[in-house]
Formats: sequence, structure tokens, C-alpha cells
Amino acid sequence: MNPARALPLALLAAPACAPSAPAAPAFAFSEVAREAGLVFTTTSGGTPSREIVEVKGGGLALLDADGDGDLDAFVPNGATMEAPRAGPGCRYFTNESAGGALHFRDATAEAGLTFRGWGIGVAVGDANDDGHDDLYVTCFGPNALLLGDGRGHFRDASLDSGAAGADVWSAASTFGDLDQDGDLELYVANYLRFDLEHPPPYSSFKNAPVFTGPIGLPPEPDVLLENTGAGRFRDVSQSSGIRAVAPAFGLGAVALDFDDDGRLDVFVGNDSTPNFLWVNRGALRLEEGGARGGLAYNVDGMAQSTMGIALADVDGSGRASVFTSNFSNDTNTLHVNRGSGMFDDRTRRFGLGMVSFPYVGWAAGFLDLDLDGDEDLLVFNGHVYPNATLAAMDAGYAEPALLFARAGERFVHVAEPPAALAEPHVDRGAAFGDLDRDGDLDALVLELNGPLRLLRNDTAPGHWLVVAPEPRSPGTRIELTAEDHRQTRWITSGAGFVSQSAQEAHFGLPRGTTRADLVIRWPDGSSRRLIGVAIGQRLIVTRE
Amino acid sequence: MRGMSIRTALVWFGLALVVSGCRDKPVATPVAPRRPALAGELRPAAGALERGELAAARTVAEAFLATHPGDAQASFLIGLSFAFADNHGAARPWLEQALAAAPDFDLAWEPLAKTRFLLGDLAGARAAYGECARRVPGDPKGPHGLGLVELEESRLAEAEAQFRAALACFDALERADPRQAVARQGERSESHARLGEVLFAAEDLAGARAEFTRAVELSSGNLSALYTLSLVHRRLGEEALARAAEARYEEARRARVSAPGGTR
Repeated sequence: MNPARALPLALLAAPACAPSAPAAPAFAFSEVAREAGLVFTTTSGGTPSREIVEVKGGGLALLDADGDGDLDAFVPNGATMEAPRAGPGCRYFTNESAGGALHFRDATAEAGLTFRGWGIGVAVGDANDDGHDDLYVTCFGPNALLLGDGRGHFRDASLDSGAAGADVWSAASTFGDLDQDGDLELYVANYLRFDLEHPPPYSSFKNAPVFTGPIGLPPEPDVLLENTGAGRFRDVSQSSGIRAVAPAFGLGAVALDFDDDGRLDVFVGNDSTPNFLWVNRGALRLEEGGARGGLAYNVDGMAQSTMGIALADVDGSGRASVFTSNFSNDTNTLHVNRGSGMFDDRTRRFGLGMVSFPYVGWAAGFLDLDLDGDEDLLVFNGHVYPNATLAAMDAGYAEPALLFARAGERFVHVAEPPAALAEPHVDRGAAFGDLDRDGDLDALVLELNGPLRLLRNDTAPGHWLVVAPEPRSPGTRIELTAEDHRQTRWITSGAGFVSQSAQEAHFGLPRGTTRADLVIRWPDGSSRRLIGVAIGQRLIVTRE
Repeated sequence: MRGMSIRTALVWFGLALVVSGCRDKPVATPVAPRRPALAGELRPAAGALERGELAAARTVAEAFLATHPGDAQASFLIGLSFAFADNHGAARPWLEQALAAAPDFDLAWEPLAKTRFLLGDLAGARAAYGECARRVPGDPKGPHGLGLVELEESRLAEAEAQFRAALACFDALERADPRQAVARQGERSESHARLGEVLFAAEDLAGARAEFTRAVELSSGNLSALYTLSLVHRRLGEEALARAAEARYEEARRARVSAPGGTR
């Protein structure tokens, strides 16, 4: 052995658990949507799906829309090919949980929400800089900007804001102050052109007839909208440079400072085409750095069918690495951030490779589900082809979620997860947050043309701290140090799969922890340092 | 990670000699895996498989199986017909049935191992690749497959040892049967690429560069090696080499994905 690599090999080759018998913590989840009043079945085309336009399902958002301190839920909801502009409409559920018992109430009408387009994704950000969360809904059709007043009401500003865009298929979006002028730009990841009147002829997948796409259909170029103040936007796609590369099948987007230069960049997950990393050069000039930086392809040099996006500091570097969920007959992928915009595919090194091969992955999140001080990984799955079976396509149509426990230097697949995760579904979006304010993270899951599922985390209590920065600017970095233990989280807009998780930083902490130090750094460069913060609380931290 | 190719299958059928004892001290003593003579009625099925006529091969084998219930060779050929179509969920039970009927059917262990691997069953793949390595000790497929499993399970040192063992098998094969070695250059390239991946993950950039370079020399279409080589060059500060590798990679990638139509 080369002596020069003896040390790293020795360090890296010592997984905490034997692969044959991983010591997984006892995770516990209960599906409680019905008893919590979250009774709603989403719409995305017909069942079974006939065309690609029907199979994306959609996302959802968790946000405190009424300012009462807990997380409410918004579901854009879709429509059908027969009536793409007149679906059953979005839903807004206000959180009225009390005493630890989860309870939601459908407050769509009183919120003034009348959106009935074919909603796909949703991102949260303060579009008009009034201090309240707004919703941007990406659609098959013009997008929608719904301005919140912080008291549970919304106003549709799609047309007067300039944010609606063209009549195209947009999948995902992310807010971020890309020009560092104090307001939030919008990056919109567009998917492809699909003519409802003239669907393409069917193709084949593993010799089985399937609808065509995305390959074989024209990709739709992405859009960058500059916030010109007071919630008004203008299209700067050309001048920003994002049209300098060939368009791709965009399905996900998240703004973050990936290269540590103080400016927010944008990672775009593309389906069956190379991912983009838009490196922010300042003054709203973006330059594609995915191929050069190692984020465009996996280690096999292949463009993947990126669907979900999850971010975490997986190696203790303080940098955000990028996990993407992908199609079946391919693995999910973990690109570790090596700094300066360089990424290495370390999927196999972290134990996240072949176990995902039979699954079509969508929503994903790094979450400390067992409150032990490191982040686990949860991925929701479900095929797109209704005729998928193990025999025909190496994968069933409905698929269980994949749960990975962090164990030392790697992730360990929890082969026997709780029943609520093991049950097969055709899942798509999910949003994560502490819905019952008991200190652990719950999940709200959207199944294609299925009922919402609320997965309450019933894992044994542990130590935790939730940090809610004000403002919740996308890209805000929260670093926690307790004893010699350091963790980093980021506030993001979008991500998961076309969904919005709670914009607060959730930390699980090792046993014995009583206090922690915090450093919160907002994208404008301002920061706060808090020493000796008591744990077991939700802490709102404002800028000084 | 892609499924088994027809070309790989043809190499199997053409495989006459392997080299034993290469893991510790390479020797040029060719030995043949135990391969029972193919039943006459199944030869058309094997021929159809070689021509890529998978459904036809299956039909012949199924007909034979109807009169010879549980026959290992027929089950094996049906399993292969699915595996060649990348239908590993369908292939697996047939390959397992073949080996249940005839555990000494050495040729069946590797496709079973690969099928299990591609279905995400790492423990099952490890067991089958282990059988493959034990039963046909000179065949690189066994240690290469075990290396893949070790890499999946984050055991970098063990993965490195297995890929080096696979490459030692190729070295021995080259000495014993150069023609066969040439026919298996693509496989050899892949062992170098995966060893390069292990070294890259262990931050041995110079070692990784050497392995990826060798992989590309052996197979200019090895996308993984070409792509990762460009990243390694860049990490080493070799920008001109990085760009050259990147350009070669893009050219090869475009050629691979330029087929019209399809879904994914």
C-alpha cells in the first residue's frame, strides 16, 4: 500500500457498523393525517397516468402563514389534461395543534386562495419584502405569486408582479438574493414542452410500452427573474447568462453559496440531462460551473434523472454537499462539496449507492430524526410508469421510502423501517418540519393522486434546538457548536422535490448536551453569535 | 452502473480458459470452469441469445423446461435472456432456480451476482460473487464484483484489494492467453476505473490518475474513467490535461446519448 494514503484509508475504511448487521436506531413514525384533519386527495392528471405531464405529482409547503408560531401547510395541487386550467384548486391548512395533539383545519377560502391551475412546485420567500412569507407556485401553465400578509391571507399577484412568466411547464423555483440588493430574485427551473392536444407517440422502457419523455421532447429553458423592488420582477434570463448553455429538463432548484465566495449560487437538478451549478459572478451574472465542478454528472460520467435535492454538511467541513434522488436502474447520488465550487461523487463511499437502484426517488431530506446529533436521510419513492413491476422494470409502481441512519462515516440503510415508511406508495413531494412542536421532525408527504400523509415522528425523545432566523433569507447559514461537536444547517427555498420544508434550522444534539453556541450568518454578510444557548427550545434570532 | 451487455455475454460463451491462482502469485496455468455440455435441444436457445434474439431464446428454453422440469441449463438461459434485457427482477428467480438445481453450474454464479447487485441486494451479491471467486479462482469477475460490493459498503481498503486482485487476474490472463485478454479489455478497463474511484475517495490523487489513465488507454469509451480523470487532473492543478480529458469525455458522452427517441 502506498504509505501516503495509508492514513486516509485507515480512517475511511472503518465504518461504525458491519454491513451485514447495522445497528440502526429505533425510528418510529405514525401516519396521522386523518386524525389530524389533513384529509385531502391531490390531483395530477388521471389514474393511471397516461402521459408524462401527469406523473410529476407535485410538492407542498410548510410555513407559518398566520404568524402564530406553528407550521401551516399549503398544497398547490394539480389539474387534469382535460381541464388543465381548472383543477380542484390549491389547499391551505392552518395548524391548530394544541397540547401535542396535531390538528389542522382547511382554511383555503378564508385565506383568499383561489388558485386552480396545474400547480407543480412551491417555494417560499418574502417576494415583496414586507416581512411576510409569500408563495411562488410553478405550474404547467403560467406560474402564480401569492403574497401573504402574515395573518393567514394571500393575494394573487401573479400578473401585476411580472412573475407569472410564459405559458410553459415550470417545475421548481427558488428564491434568493442573487444580486445582494436586499430583495429576493426568483430562479425558475422549467421542464419541457408538452402539447396536450398532440401527445407524442409511446416509447419503450425495458421493452415495455411507456409514455415518451423527457428524452424525445424539447426541453424548456429556465428563467431568472430579478426583483426590482416591492415584489415586482423582470426577466433577466438573457443578460444573466443562463441562456448561454443548452436548455435542460429542470426539475429542482436551490439557491445557496456553494463555493464560499459570499454570493448565492443556484444548483439546478435536471432530468436526464446534466445538472447545472450557476456560479454567481456578481451583478446578476451567472456562469455554468456544474461540469467543471463535478456536479453535472455522477462518477460514471452520466447525466442522471435528478428529481429531489437535499443538502447537508455530510463530512463536517461546514460546506453544503448535494444529494440528488434519481430514476430507477440508477443510484441516488451524493456529491460532496470540496470547496471552491468543486464536488466529488462519494455516493458509494457513504453507503448510498446500489440500495437505491430499484427505486424512483423524489422528495429527500437530511434530517436528524433520532436526535442523536447527526443527520439521517429520508427519501420518498414511487415509479412513473403504472405498468412497472419487479419482473418488467426491476421496480414496482408503488415503492417504500428509503431511510438511512447516519452511523459514523457513512449512512446505513434501515432495512426494517417503521411500517409508516415501509408501506409502498407512489410518492412525490414532501416537506419536513416540527409540526407538533415536540422537538423532532415530522413529514408531510404528497402521493400522486393520493391522500396526503402526515408522518408524525414518534422516535424516543432526545435533545434538540430549533433556530428560526429573522429574516428567513434563503441561504442563511446556522452553525451550532456544543462541546467539540459542530453542525451546520442552511435555510433554503425550494429543494426536497418541488417542495418547501420549514425555514428553520433543526438540530438534534448528543446526550449530555445542555447548551450550545450559535453563529448565524445571513446572505448579506451580517451575522450574530450567541454563546451558551439553552437547548430544548425554538429560538428566534433576529439581526442586530 | 449499467446492466449486463450482450457483448459481455458473448465473452462468457466464448470463455474457454481462465487462469488460476492469480490473487497471490499469478501463474499461467489455464483452467476451465466446470461447464456441463449444453443439451442439444438448448443449442438454438444459446444461439439465439448470442444473436440478441432474447424472446426466441426464451421460447426454446421454456419449451425444453416443459419437458425437463427444473432443468438448470434451461433455467439459466431464461435467466440470461431477462438479464440481457436489463430485466433483473425477472432474471433473478431463474438464475437462482438454475443454481438450486445445479450448485456446481459455475457459469451461473456471476450473472446471479450481478443481477442481485443491480437489484440492490448487496448481501446476496457478496455471497454469489464469493462463490464465483471460489469456484473459478482465475476469473477477474469474482474479485471485481466483490470490490464493487466492498466499495458500496464503504470498505475502501478491502475494495482496493479486490480490484487489485482482479487486475492481477487480467495480468495472468494476458500472459496465458493474450487473445482472450484483448477480448476482455473493456472489463479490465473497468477494474482500473473502479480502483481509481477507490483511490480518489481515499484522496490518493496520483494513484487515481494512474488508474483512470490506464482505464482510458484500455477503453477510450470508458465514460466514467474519462470524466473522473478530468476531475482528478483539475484537483492536481493540471488544468490543460483536465480540459483535454473533459473534451474527450464530452465527445464520448455525446456519441453515447445521441440516439434519437426513447424515454430515458
